[in-house]
Amino acid sequence: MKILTCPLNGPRPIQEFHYGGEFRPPLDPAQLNDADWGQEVHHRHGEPGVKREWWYHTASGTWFIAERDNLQDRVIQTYLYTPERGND
Amino acid sequence: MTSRLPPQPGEWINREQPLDFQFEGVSYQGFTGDVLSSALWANGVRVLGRSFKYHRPRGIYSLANHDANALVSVGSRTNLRADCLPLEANLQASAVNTLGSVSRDHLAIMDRFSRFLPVGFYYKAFHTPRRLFPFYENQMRKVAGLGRIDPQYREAATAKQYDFCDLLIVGAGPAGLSAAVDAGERGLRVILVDENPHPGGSFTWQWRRHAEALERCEQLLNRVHALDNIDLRVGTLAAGCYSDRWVALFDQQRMTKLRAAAVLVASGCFEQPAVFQNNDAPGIMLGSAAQRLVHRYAVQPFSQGVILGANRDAYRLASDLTTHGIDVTAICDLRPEGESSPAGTRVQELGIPIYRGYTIYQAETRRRGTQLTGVIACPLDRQGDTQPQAGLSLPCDGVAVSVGWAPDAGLLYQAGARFQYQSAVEQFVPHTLPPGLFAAGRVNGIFSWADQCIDGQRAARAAAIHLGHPDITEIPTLTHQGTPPSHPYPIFPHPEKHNFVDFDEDIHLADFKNAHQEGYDNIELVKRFTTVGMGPSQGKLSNMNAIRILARQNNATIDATGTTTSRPFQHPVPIGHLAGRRFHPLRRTPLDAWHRQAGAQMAHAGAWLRPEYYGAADERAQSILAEAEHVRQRVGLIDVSTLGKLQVTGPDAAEFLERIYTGRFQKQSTQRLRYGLACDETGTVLEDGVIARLAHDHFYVTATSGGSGSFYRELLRWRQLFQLDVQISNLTGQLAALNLAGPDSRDVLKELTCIDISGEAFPYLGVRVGTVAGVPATLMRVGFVGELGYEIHVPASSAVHVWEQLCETGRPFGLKPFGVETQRLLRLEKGHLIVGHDTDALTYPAEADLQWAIAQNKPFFVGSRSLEILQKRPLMRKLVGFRLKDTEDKPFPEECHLILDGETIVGRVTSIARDSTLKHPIGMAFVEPRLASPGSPLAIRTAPGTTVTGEVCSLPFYDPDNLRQQ
Amino acid sequence: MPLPITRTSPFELPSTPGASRDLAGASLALWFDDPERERQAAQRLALCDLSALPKAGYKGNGATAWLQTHQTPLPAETFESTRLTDGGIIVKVAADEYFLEAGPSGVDLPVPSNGEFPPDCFPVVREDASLVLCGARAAAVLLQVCGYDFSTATLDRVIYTRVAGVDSAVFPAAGYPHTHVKLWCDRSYAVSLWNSLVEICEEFEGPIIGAQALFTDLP
Repeated sequence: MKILTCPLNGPRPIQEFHYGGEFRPPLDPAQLNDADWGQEVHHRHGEPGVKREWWYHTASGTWFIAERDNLQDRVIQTYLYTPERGND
Repeated sequence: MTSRLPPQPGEWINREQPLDFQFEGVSYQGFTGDVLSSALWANGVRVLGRSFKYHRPRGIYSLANHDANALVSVGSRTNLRADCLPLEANLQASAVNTLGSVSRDHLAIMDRFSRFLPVGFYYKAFHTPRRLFPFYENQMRKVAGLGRIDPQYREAATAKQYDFCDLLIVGAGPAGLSAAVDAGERGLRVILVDENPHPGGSFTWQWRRHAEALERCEQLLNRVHALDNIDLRVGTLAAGCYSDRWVALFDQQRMTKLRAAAVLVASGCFEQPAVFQNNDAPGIMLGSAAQRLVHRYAVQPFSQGVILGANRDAYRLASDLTTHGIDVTAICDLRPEGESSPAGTRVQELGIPIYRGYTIYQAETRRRGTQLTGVIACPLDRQGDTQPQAGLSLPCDGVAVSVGWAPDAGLLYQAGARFQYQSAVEQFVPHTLPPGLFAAGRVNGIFSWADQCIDGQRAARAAAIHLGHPDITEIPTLTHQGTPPSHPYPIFPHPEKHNFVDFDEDIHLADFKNAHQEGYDNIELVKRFTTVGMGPSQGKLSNMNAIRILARQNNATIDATGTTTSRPFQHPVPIGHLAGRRFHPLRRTPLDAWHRQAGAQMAHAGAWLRPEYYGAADERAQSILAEAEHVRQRVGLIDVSTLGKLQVTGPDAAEFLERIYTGRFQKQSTQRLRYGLACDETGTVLEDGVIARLAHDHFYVTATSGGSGSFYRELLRWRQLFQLDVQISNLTGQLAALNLAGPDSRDVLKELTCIDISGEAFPYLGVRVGTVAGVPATLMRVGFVGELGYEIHVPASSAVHVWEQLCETGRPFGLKPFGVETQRLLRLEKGHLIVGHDTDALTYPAEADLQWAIAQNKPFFVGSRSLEILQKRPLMRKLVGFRLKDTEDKPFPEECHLILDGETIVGRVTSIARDSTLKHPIGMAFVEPRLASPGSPLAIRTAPGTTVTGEVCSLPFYDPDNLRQQ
Repeated sequence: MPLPITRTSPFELPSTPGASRDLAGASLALWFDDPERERQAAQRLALCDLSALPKAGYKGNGATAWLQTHQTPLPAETFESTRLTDGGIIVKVAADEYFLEAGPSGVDLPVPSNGEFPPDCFPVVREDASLVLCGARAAAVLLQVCGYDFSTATLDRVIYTRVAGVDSAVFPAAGYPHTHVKLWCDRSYAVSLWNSLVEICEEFEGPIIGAQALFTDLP
């Protein structure tokens, strides 16, 4: 059973968390044409490598971002979302 | 007791406590501390079980928890390995996999057919004709499998537990004990496990006559016991290693889910068999098994034995057995050069004949293979091939095999370690270990006890450094000195094909030849075709030889041949230990106990338990109908505490809600409710509810019972993304909600509240804060069931008080509680959809006629961009109401039944019930837009194959002018 | 004048209490059969329902400032706690949020004198179930239900984790006569959690006790 480190609550077993899907920097919908918007909401990147993902610590209600290398089965870092940190 | 030796120093049996037990109905006596195998052997019993396929007699082979042919049943427990089953008073054991008894197994005839049963026989022979397969299958099932399951077995909850430590050490032998002392003295929290009932490992059988080793063992054990931070757990198996050093430990009572910051594996090696004709006969065993018998259980393994050896251990064994009065007839040493160490000299001095460059060619038995009478030894030529014509006969009643070792490396493999074959030891040794994993001792290719102690310390220090302990002097890595402890190919062909590579599955050498000829040249494929390593011992005694055979067949190196994948568990574990206690929490409303007392039929609704209706189980339809009529005519009360209840506060609360919901809330008046519809980013309907404004910066929001948990979670995520100054509180479990509904509801409620609830002062879609029955309450005028009604939200702890007060006050009005099934019927009559029930994961607002809830010209809400795109497309389906004509003689349609146009599927039913007023079936369905106008005919296929017809009609079915809920 | 009993516990208790006290409209069981035996059980292992203790939550940018005008020192860091005068607890559950649980003597939780909270301070209804696992063997019970290593936990600091499948706030409490772990969880899940703990405690021979054994200052 894996361990994931919540930025607020520290290292916890994985069953304390809920997986929230791939992190995608929020885009301005008005700037995208229909086709690009369709890609944005329906397409997810599945290729192995370093993934940026949303995770949620259920008991404390904490959303955070985990950078995870799923080729090496390794969590690189976890941090709380801020516009500066999330959208680069 | 024919084979019990006089008391041995350090023996595990307690001679003060003799025990009576039975095996196959015959009574014997053993001692406390015996395992079943040792006690039977002491009583002269040599046939302990029958082999899986050919039902050949088998005895003790490893005495180390790998004797997969000596399986017994005890009561409702089955497939217990006799070599690790502790003897208990009045134990009644019987062998599995026999017809008749273990000594006269009628299925032993299978052995005579063995030459006609090559590997792959079953795959090929019973493949065709297909129609006969059920017959074959039935016949095969009668003889296949091992123990029988007791259908009378009574479930008993087995508690699991978590545990934590800095360093887990697996194996309490020389390396493990030394590692534990080193780490323990450094203050680490150490858990030291050993599957045996006593610590000491090879100290307790291999080095029993070595004074220096015994003294070291004593010192180490004293330190282990003296240090409080070392938790020694014997009889505990480390059975699997998972991510982030999560190790499953098993003992007699339970599974422990141990999280270790570091894991040190000092698990040792499995001694390996040699492959020769009849190498499975009872009396033939590993040298380590013979020494375990002698030193742990004081049992003579045989009286006159031949040793087949290929290492120093064989010579130590010869001296050891001789000391215990066992006549060692000869040593056959596979190596032409023999043993030149002092251990070899000592054996020469004892006068034991040594045949260098010899193997055992075949074992001779009588009494249908149950009794060993001798062996034929023969010389090996330079290539290592047997020369049977030069064979010589050696009488004996036992053979000890000491030709090599294979690492007990399952945990390391599971943790991701990589191994390399080292010819210096002719063994796989760890090459790279994942962070936090360490190996020491024999599993690491270190074979002398003194070196093992140093290697244990080395690994413990490496672990302490990994854990961040400062100022530690590292110990350099050791390497094995001298000749390899394992022989590279102790495998010898024989035309009679009873030279077994895998005892679990009765796979002999020629089977590998066949497999290779069939093209199976990869170790994973060979495993699956021959089933080598797939028996109960998981190849502990066969995988290494299988790899050696395949490497030779492929003319490849051992490294290139590779190993099969090691999976948990290391040894079989009771399935009840895995089940453990169940923690599947249910949510209960504060009125749960009241509902049960009132005779409610409780049902699961998502995570919740809710009353479906109140009444007898066999009066479902009548009860629901009566409750519905009562709400329509008088007054009813339902517990809707499962509703999602959220508080949204802060300066940006209205802005936040406008971004989440499709409607507008900035200008919403306080004390008023608005309908809220929320979509996800793709425009799919996600949630609906009412939004009450209590102050300019304070909203109270309800959400669906099923979706509120995930909706709350999503709101928290949007809050982060939007970076708005808003607080969201999930009050779902903090508050209870009661819906008082029906024409008389106002008259009931006004008795209990100080709030002016007259129609003028508190209109439909109003919200008021005050008290009900003396308790702080929020009242909302909603019309989900289509009658005058009040949703009363109160603190959960006061729910019972308020509910009872309402029931009491409502008695003159005939107030009755109603359940969620009744509510479903009432809302269907009123044409209200339930999100997640009448909508699915693709429904967008236009499909469900919810366009009205979307505010025009709003710059943004979640899903707005997608809805803009969807609106340009033609509708593919539409949610409509329908009425059915008479269905009395036909099966009543159900939700998800298909709607057909001829043979074409054009929709499906989402809700259906019998109207409480008119008593005919009404429902909602998705249909193609061309069939959606009121009056369109509609045909539903009900199971099985009948069709009922009706027509689409406008919604709602009940009170279309909304007069009753005002 | 005592309030009428309007608040009830979510749990089914073993029997009618031998003594109880009224607390803000709820009844707090002091002991069931024998107070002395319960005191001894509390040393070894016992389970106690404290859901009757009044609770409140405060949220918003103005919460800290407003509470400071009413209370003894507030906890500085998230998940830390301080004590109310009567043994109650204040926990900082987030940067802008506090959770208060009164002690057993019925001291009122802070409310604005005029009924109006200042802007940016919002009261939050807190009806969490509140229970205590106490005694030397409490750690063994926790090992069966929770994957968090409490042996490394800081006292008087709340840990959000999952206990017997239920998301809970666990509070290893200092300053009590015995080893004492408090658990708060959503009331709707509380019966499931309670039943699991009762079952395990029974195996360890730990009874359900009243509050008196936990609070030395109770009569």
